[in-house]
Amino acid sequence: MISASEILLTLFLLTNLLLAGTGRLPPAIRLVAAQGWFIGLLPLLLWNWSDAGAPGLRIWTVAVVNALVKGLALPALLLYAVRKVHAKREMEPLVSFRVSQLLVFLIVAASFAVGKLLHVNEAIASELAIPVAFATMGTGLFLICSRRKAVTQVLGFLVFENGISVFGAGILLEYGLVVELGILLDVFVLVFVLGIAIYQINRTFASLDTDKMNRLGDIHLLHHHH
Amino acid sequence: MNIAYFLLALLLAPFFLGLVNQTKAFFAGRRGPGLFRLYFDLAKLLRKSCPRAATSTWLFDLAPSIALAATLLAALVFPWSLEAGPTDAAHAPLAALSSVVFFYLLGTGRFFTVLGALDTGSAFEGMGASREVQFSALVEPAIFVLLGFLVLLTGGDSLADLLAGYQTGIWAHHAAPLLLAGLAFFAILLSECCRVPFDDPETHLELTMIHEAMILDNAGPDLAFIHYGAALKFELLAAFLVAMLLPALPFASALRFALLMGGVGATAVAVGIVESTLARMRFLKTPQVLLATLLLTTLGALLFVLF
Repeated sequence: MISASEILLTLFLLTNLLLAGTGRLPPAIRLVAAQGWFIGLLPLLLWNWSDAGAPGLRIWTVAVVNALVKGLALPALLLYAVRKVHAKREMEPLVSFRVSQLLVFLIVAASFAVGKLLHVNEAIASELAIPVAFATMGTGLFLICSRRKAVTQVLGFLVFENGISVFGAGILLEYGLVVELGILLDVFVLVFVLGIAIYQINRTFASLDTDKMNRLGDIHLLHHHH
Repeated sequence: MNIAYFLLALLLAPFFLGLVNQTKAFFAGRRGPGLFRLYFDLAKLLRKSCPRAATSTWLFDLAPSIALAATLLAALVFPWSLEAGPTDAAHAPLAALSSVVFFYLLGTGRFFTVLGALDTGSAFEGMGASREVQFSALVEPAIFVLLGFLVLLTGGDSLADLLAGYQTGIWAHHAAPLLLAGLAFFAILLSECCRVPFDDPETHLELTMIHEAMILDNAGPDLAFIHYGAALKFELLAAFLVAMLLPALPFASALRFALLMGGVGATAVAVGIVESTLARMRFLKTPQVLLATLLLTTLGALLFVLF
């Protein structure tokens, strides 16, 4: 089981690197959704099945709720918002994708160095969990700083939150998972509000857009002259 | 016995490209050209005459043969039965260098293909050659970081030791770095063999070709050499990937060889699936992906060193 959780955490790192190099929004959202599913799976994989028997109801609830909210509901909401505002085209990074990828790699390397220095070996379930958590939080913060579009910044925020979840799952706090659910509720509300905000902003501006302006003036008459 | 494995591997090489094409045909809903198409193509090409442009020099005449010879030498270095190398240094003085020699022999093959392409003086071939060299220059650091990682992992130095030598339990303790290295080497394999996200072997538009653009002027036996060399290189790199991921196997050498070839077949099917589901990347995007393979291998090595 140790091996399975490490493979999952490695995939988590990969999604971070991929997120830094992705230019289109729907794939980026799907990557964050994949992270959501990983977070749902993580407490089950870190659970000591052979010694402690089947995990209790609390673990199952948290796993299922995490996967449903972070892997299904929030990404679906963001995909819906992106489709509504026709924002499928490339994101507008302040830092190029190549440099982003390099910087995220440096963030990952730094978090491994820090994770190694911390020496929290008593409580953690997997050696990889703490560094991966730091790396994910760093990636989230980096995405918030380096991207211009509101949708991408929401994604960055979600990635940051995913990092906190990995931290919580990794150190196996007894009530950590319950606290996690509280945080999850906050995040859900925030992303919901942001999704609506993105839609509303776009709707206001869409009515000022070229389509309707053509009908306001006499541009269509100009076209007839040609 | 090892000679038999070597010859069998040479014989099987075109089959694996047939497997890639058959997988692609299955995904496209076609019947496909059959698993043994390349054998017939090679036989046909070898019977043909070999016209060469009057403006090209001896370099163009020799390039395909030298490229094939270099790839064959690389196949000779490869440990087909996945046995660890001889332990006494006097027995194999160059053994410690063999992993570097292996990749540089493949590089020599590419170098002469590129020289032959440039010798024709055609604009398209020059363009293909330039792209080929650019991509391989980006892949090379990733390959050497990977070799460094394998040296750390296995404690050996010769190619045979790197590919044969670690204990079964290592997947339980170092799954993460092995997974990263495997993914990165799969991308390296696709780039080195000019497969889909990096190059399209089936394109007929000169502007989008890389490998195919370099060999536009080759015909007859020369072209057969190039096609066979490409098939052998694919088999070699796929075998490297499989051998890198397999732990030491306590079986007879014939069974190990069969497992290795089965793994190469599985890799060929995976390449076919990748080619059926992905489109070729824009050229501007490619360096970013190749940089990512370097980052992945470095990350794998780092994970292994730190944990």
